[in-house]
Amino acid sequence: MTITQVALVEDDTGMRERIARVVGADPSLALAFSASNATDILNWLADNPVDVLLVDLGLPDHPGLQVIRQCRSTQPACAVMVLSIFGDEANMVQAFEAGASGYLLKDGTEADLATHIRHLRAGGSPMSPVIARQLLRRWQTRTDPPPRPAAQAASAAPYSTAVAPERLSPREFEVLDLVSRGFTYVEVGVQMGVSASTVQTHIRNIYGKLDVHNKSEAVFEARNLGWLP
Amino acid sequence: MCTTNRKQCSRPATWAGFPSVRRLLFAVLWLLAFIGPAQAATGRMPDAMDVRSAEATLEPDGLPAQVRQVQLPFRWDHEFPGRGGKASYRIDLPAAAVPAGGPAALLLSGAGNQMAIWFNGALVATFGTLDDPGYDAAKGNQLVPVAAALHRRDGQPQQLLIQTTMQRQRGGGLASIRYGDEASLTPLYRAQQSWRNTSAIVYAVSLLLMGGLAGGLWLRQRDALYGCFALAALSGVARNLDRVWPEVPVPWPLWGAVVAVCYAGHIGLIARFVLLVLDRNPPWLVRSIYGALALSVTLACASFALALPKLWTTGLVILQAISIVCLPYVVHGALVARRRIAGVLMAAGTLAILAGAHDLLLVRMGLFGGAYYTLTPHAMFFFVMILAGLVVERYSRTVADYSALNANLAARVAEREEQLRGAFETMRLQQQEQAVLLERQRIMREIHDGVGSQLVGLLNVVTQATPDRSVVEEHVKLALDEMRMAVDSLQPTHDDLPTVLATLRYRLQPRLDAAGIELVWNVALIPAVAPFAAQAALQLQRILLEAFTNVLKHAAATRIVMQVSWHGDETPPMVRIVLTDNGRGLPAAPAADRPMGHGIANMRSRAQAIGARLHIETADAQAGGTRVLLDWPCALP
Repeated sequence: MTITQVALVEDDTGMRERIARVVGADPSLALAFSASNATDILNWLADNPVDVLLVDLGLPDHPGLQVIRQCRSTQPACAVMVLSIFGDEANMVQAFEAGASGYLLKDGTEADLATHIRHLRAGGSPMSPVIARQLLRRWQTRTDPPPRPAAQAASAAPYSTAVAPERLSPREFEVLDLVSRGFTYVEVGVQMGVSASTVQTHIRNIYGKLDVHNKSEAVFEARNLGWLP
Repeated sequence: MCTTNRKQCSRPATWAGFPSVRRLLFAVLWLLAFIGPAQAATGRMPDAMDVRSAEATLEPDGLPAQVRQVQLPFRWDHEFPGRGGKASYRIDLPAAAVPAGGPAALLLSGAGNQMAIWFNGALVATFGTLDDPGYDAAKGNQLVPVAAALHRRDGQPQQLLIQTTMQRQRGGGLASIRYGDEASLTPLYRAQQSWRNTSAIVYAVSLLLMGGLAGGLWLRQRDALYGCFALAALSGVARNLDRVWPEVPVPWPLWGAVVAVCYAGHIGLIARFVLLVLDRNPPWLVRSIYGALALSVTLACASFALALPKLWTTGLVILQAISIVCLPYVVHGALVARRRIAGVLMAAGTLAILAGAHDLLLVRMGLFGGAYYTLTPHAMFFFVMILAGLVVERYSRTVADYSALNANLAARVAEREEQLRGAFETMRLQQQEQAVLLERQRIMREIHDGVGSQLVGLLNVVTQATPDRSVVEEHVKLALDEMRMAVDSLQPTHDDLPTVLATLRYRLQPRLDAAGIELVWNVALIPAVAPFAAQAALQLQRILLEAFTNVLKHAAATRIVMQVSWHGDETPPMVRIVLTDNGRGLPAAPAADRPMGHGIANMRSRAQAIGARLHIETADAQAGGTRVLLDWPCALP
């Protein structure tokens, strides 16, 4: 059994230690590096490949979103998970768009945290009804009106609207709708006549479609450097 | 009234308005200068002679007849003031005056008032009927052609007899006779007539038009200036008509009185008009003008009623005097105040006063050799043009004032809009601050009532001698629940009922799983409802959380069915939430230790707060269980 290498960036020492304990307790996981700020983790990531990166969004020196973007560009194979607090789901959509493929609620007990990590490793992608509702709204407002004029798009936030994400399939819309109304993956699967794992796949695909960074990295970099409006 | 303000603020308009008037004035002056020499030149006509004297038989009413030689021009009113009468003039015309064989003619002026003309014993012309005052021949010139056949060929002088009848104070007599070649006299006659008629008609029509215009302006604006000019102009019409109208259907001397009264009004009101234009109205002068006007009108009436020509002459002197008194004001305005309009008025007024003096002294009194042609009508015409200039100027000024006013108004409207926008912005900010404040208060209350009270309860448990571990855990979990509820109520999707319910489930599901309770989730599609404020979301979550907690703690149930349905066809539309468990059901009596009634009372008060109806009942008489039913009326957005 291969051991999954985990790196962590989190400014709260207590939180860092708890996650280290949880990861250490899991024989299939190994904590390769633990940083308290963005600079340290980015320096380390430049030379060390890693399987999973856990990122807190509120870092002291740079935004966590920047760490996510940079990790996605330097280590495309690495899965980035957001360390999120309860009730912050609405802000996580940005993290998904930056390339995160899941999130981990950090304000549960250590047992909750371990369960959560096991779940993620088993291929599970959690999605709260609030996130589902947010995504639904974002896709509906994007697909309903015709493409926006360039000037208007440029003035909006670079990651939320500058690059239109891939379209959702009707099934994916259905999944989002049911999840946003409180149905569990199992119930969603029953209603749609598919297995719960298929629902999980849909969820992962939906997250993947949010990751505009993958497809439009050049565009983003060009815009960052001021070559494009 | 024109006020000093308006004049000052529209000075450019005043300057712009007058050059045209001035040009017009000069043109008329030039015309007058041209006419004068033309009349003077008549005496030097080669083919005609002027008659200097006549043998007259004079029969004034009430006086003995006399026969004597009279010099022409002969003025009946000078010889016999206030009397009518008859006169016949015998004149011997030299035979050589006219080339033999050609048609000859007589050109008479100021002859009458009625007249019959005999040439060598033959009646050649009559003007009016002798002794009938319906016609006045003295007003114009008369051309009498004399056929060649009537001329004596024997070298003897031609005998001319002119019989006339005069009415008192009518300017009768015999002013001049010119005898000569018809071919040379006819053009002269035509020129005189056309000048006389044309000028009189032009003046009369202009006065009528401008008087009417001024009257109309006065009716609309009630500006004394216009009213004064309207009266002045209209009263000036009579005299101009009289100059060319031989057969006035008003009997003499009544018509004479009418013309005199109108003339007095004309002069007096023009003097008043001048002061109004200058906006200089010293009360004593205004009173003097009206006094002079009243006096001269009275004198005119008395003069014609009492057959005393001197009275009307006095009236004319008074009018002349009052005009002269007004002149210094005009001169002051022109030379000291340097007002363009005063300069124009000064020119016109001086001309009018000179013309008036000429008419009074030469025509009326016959002094300095006398004259038959009056100049006042020509001079007064300038005032018509001055009024026209004034109207033009005032109109342009009004237009300029209005556009300035418009610009001013537009600026003020813009300023107001700016203020309003500012006020709106301030209000919006205040509302925003108010909303933030309310939300902050809500969160504070939330934390205090929820997490706070749970933590106080926890503290109570912990400070006991032997705290029960499970009770502590229960309290901590409840405190976390409370905190999560509060955080959830702040989610941006808090206005979306299905998401609120879904979030509640998402939070509760792990605890239900841990307790081995199956949750059947049966939530229908619910449209967006309004208003669904954070407060309402929270109350709803609280009620449901309380219900779920009750099941978890007390019911020992294995299954919960959550049913949410939308009843849009009811009024008002309603959301129905039914939570049914298969637990042990409602206790027969409230438990003693932690009264369940307390929780239910809480639920009820929360339901009341959002206007919902809460109903808690036993689900099934045999199987037991509890049903919590919440009917929440809500409006569609």
